[in-house]
Formats: sequence, C-alpha cells, structure tokens
Amino acid sequence: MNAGRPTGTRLHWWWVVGAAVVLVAAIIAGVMIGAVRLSPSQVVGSMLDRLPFVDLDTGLTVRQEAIVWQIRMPRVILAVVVGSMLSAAGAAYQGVFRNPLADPYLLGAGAGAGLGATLAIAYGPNTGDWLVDPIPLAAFAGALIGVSFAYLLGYTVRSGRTSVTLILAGVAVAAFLTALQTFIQQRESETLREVYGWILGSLNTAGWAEVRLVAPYVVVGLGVVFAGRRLLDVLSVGDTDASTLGVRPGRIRLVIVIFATLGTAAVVAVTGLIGFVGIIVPHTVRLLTSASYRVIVPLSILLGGAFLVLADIIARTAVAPAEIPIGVVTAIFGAPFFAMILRTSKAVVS
Amino acid sequence: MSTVRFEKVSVDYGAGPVVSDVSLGAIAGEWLAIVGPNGAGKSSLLRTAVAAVEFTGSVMVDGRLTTTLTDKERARLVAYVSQRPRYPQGMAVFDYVLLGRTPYMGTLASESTHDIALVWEALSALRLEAFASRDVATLSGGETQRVSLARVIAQRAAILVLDEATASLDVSAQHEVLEVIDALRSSHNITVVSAIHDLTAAAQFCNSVAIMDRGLLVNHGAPVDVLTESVLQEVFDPSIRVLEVNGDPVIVSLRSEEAYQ
Repeated sequence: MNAGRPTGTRLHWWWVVGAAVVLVAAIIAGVMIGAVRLSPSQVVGSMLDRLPFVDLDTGLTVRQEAIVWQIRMPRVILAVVVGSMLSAAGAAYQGVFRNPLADPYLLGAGAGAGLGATLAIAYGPNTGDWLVDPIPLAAFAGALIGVSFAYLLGYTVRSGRTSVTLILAGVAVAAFLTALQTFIQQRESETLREVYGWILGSLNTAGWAEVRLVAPYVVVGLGVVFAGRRLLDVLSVGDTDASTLGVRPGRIRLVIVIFATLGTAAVVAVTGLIGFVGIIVPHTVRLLTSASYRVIVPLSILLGGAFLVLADIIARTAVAPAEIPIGVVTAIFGAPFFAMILRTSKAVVS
Repeated sequence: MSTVRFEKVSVDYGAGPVVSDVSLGAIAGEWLAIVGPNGAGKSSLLRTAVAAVEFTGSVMVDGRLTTTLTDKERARLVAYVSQRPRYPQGMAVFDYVLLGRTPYMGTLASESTHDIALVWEALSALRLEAFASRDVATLSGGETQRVSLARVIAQRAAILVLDEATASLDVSAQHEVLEVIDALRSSHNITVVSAIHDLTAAAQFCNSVAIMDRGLLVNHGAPVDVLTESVLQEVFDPSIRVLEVNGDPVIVSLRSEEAYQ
C-alpha cells in the first residue's frame, strides 16, 4: 500500500553488516599484532578451530596458541566489551540529557571511581594479600556512590527536576570528588605514579578473569540501553511532549542512567578512566548515518568495541615494549579523526 | 462522543494560584478557544488536561477522570501541542510524526505496518508527503506547525489541546494552519481546546470562547456574546475596539488620540 514510500529511519542491514565486519577485522588485527607476529589466516584458523564441530589444523605451535588465547584474545575481548559499554553509555547519556556533550562520566561516575581507586591505592592494605583486588572494588563503589549523590542532589532541588539540574548536580559532585581525590593524591605522593597510571586507563592487566568480572554488568547495561533506544528518540522532543505521548521521562531517565552507570562503573573498575570513547563513537555514528537512537545505539555498540581494540593496538605497539595509556591514545588519535568527520559531514550536531 | 470538562481546576506552582477554581467544558467536535492576557493561566489550564502540571480539582475526558487513566490511556484520548515544540536536529519528518504512535506501542516494541499507514494518512491530511524524509529542524515555522499537527493526528486522540499553536506564524501561515485544524476537526470529529492570542481568529474559527484573567474564568460562551468591547476593554486594554466585518467581530487595538499628538 505504501510501496516505494519512505517508512522512516531504519537500521539498514548493510550498516549492521558493515559495522560487524569492522569489529571482526579489528579483533583479528588485535590478535595478530604484537611482539610475535601472526598471520590473519593463523588467527582466523585458530578462532574457527575453537568453534564446536570444527577441527582445523592451524599449524600454530603450543606457544603461539597460548599467545593467542591466554594473552591477546582476553585483552582484545576486554577492549571490545569496554569500548561497547562506554560508547553505548555515552549515547544513552546524550539521549536522556538531550546534551551532545554528555559522556558516561557526566554524573560523577569517573570522579567517584577515581576517588575510590585512589583511596584503595593510598590507604588500602597490601593488595596482594586480598582474595579480591580491592582497587576495582573501590572504583566500582566510588562510581555508583558518585552518581547516586548527583541523582539525589538533582532530584531534591526545589526549583524543579529537569535534566539540566541533574547535569549541574553531576558537575558539582564530580568537582567535589575530584578535589578530594587530588587532595589525597598530593598527600600520599609516593602512590602518585600508580594512581596516575590507573586514572589514564589501561587494558594491560587483562586476562579472562577481568572479562568474566565485567561481562555480566556490561551485558545487562547494553541490554537496557539497547531496549531503550526508541524511548531515547521519544525523549528528544522534550519532557513535556514526551509525557503527553504516554511515557514517563523521569522514570526512563532514571532506569537508563542506572544501567548505563552500572556497566560503566564495572568497566572503569577494571580498566581505569578511558576518556573520549563515549563521545566520539556515538557522534561519529550520528554524523555518518542518522540522528535516531534506534540507529546510533546498536552501531555504537559494534563500532565502540572496534574503536577501542584499534586504540589498544596503538597503545601497546607504538612505543613497544613500553605502553602508552589507552586514554591518551583514544584522545590523540580520536580527536583528529573526529575533527575530520565533523568537517566533512553535512549533518550538524545540535 | 469525546468531551472535555474542567471542574474547579486550580494550579499553584508555589507562589500563589495561577489558575483558580476554573470550571469549563467543551462538547464533542467543538472548538473552544481560551483567550486572555499573558499570564492569565491559559497554558497552565491546558496542561492540566495532559497531566503535565500538578493541579487540584478534576479533569474529565470522555466522561472519565484523567487521574484514573494510565499515561498511555490518557495519551490515546488527549493530544497536545506545546507553545514551542522541540524539533530534534536530524530527525526526519516521518520519524517525528511516528512519535505520535508512542501511546500504542509496548515499551520495547517497534512500529507496525498499521502505525506506518497511519503516519502516511496523517502526512497526507496535512499535505506533507513530500517532506517525509526532510530534517524536521530545517523546516519553516508554518511547516513545523503542520508537522506537529500531523503528529497529533497520528496519535488518533479525539481531543486536541493546542497551546498557542500559531503564535509564531505570519498572518497567512497562521490562517492556513487554523483552516487545517478546522478541517481536521470536522473530518475527524475532534474536540479542540486551544489557547489563542489572536482574538479575531478566535471569533472566526471557534465555536465558543472562554476569557481568562489572572487565573480566573471571566466569561464563557459564543464568540459574539463573549468578545464584547466592554469585557475586552476591562480584561485587556481600554483601547480595544470591536468592529464587524461580514457579521464576524474583528478586534483591534487603537492607539490613543493623545499618542498621535
């Protein structure tokens, strides 16, 4: 009946396939590249060999197998998980706050995690004695406490609960927590280097244990943001109009922020503060495809993973055998790339 | 039969009432205009119909108290266009109109072919088919008003609440939009309640007019009975004159004679 007429914004299958191809290529590259060079066919062969009912002779030595599966693969997978989560959380925050500058650390998750980690590093008992490493635990708790404070503050403001008061509350809480963190860092200057290294972010310690640790939070976080992608479009017309369309903007905002923050807190706890991903990836997707969150969220999940894998390749190879903090790489290579997209794109960010 | 009825409605944002004890109704298919000076409480009264403000008293739509309806049920009965709607940058006109189908979709569902067909119907009712793929933020004032109306038509609500829908338009665009609303009202048997600044337009298009001043309902009735010089001079300004063209009142504000000297 409506043949040939546009039926609105669609998540075209070729966008999804394209993004998935980029992600898989990034994963293969991430596993290939390193001090011991492997060929793409060796990597792909080894990956296929692990599938059920597939038995390939990959020609890899036991040592090479170990490099692929014990060293590189967990690190690459962690990069995928972290990149996806930060990108989706960034898109979600930009949607619920209708603010293009929003990122997952907006409401104090980053500052809270930083303070938690600093406290654990400066005053924590010898971390080697612990059953679980207290640093990610403290960072996780700090992130959740930071955002809870911001939310409580934003929602008890007398002048009205709007997304703007919430952002301002987040700014206040983040500034306060960062000041505390800096104070402790200065007082306990012998731990400065460790604190600083944590804050700049790294995937250096990644093993399968870290992947297992964050995976449940990330799966739930990504699931909720993905499920809420159409509601993010509804929120874009403003709270009053959205409420006349039968939805509750405050409730949607709360639920999406809770789960995006949970996922963000989990990845920050393990990797430190990796900046810029949550802004650059959703905006690149927006500029290249569509302003609809029904497109931005799924593509950001795929491309955010790919972006962080590629950034990590640079982080660990550019000055090998030393490593550059990945947060530095995401900004140094991400910012010019984003500037290029911004210049060549016809679309404008509101 | 879709009626709307405000019963002893009061709104107070914390600094004294902005709407006081207003009782007012519109019957099915009627166009009720609410006029009054800035700050009279028109917008606040309209917002009670879509539960966008806290209020005391009651609002009935279709014989049902709005407080007993779920958000979605209410949104299927009453649609609302705010004074300055937000048109998100980069959103296609089709997608914007599709938002009107939100009250009919499950939280996690996406649009059905039925929803898409209704969006096309709404676009065609407002002659917007050619704009379907255009970025809603790049349209002119008159075009965006039509897009907003298409959204509320797709919403399939029997009651349409418009807050100064034509305030930012030039004379001809305003007239065009009002004609469109009137046509939709008769073709879809929609009840329209609108705040409106242009008193002449209110007299020409609306079946009944309610005048508000400082939160109170001053007068309510047929345009010719309500929009009289004495009432308007009291509520608005002594310089108001009511002329008559083709039997309709034309309301103008004259500059005082001293000002010319």
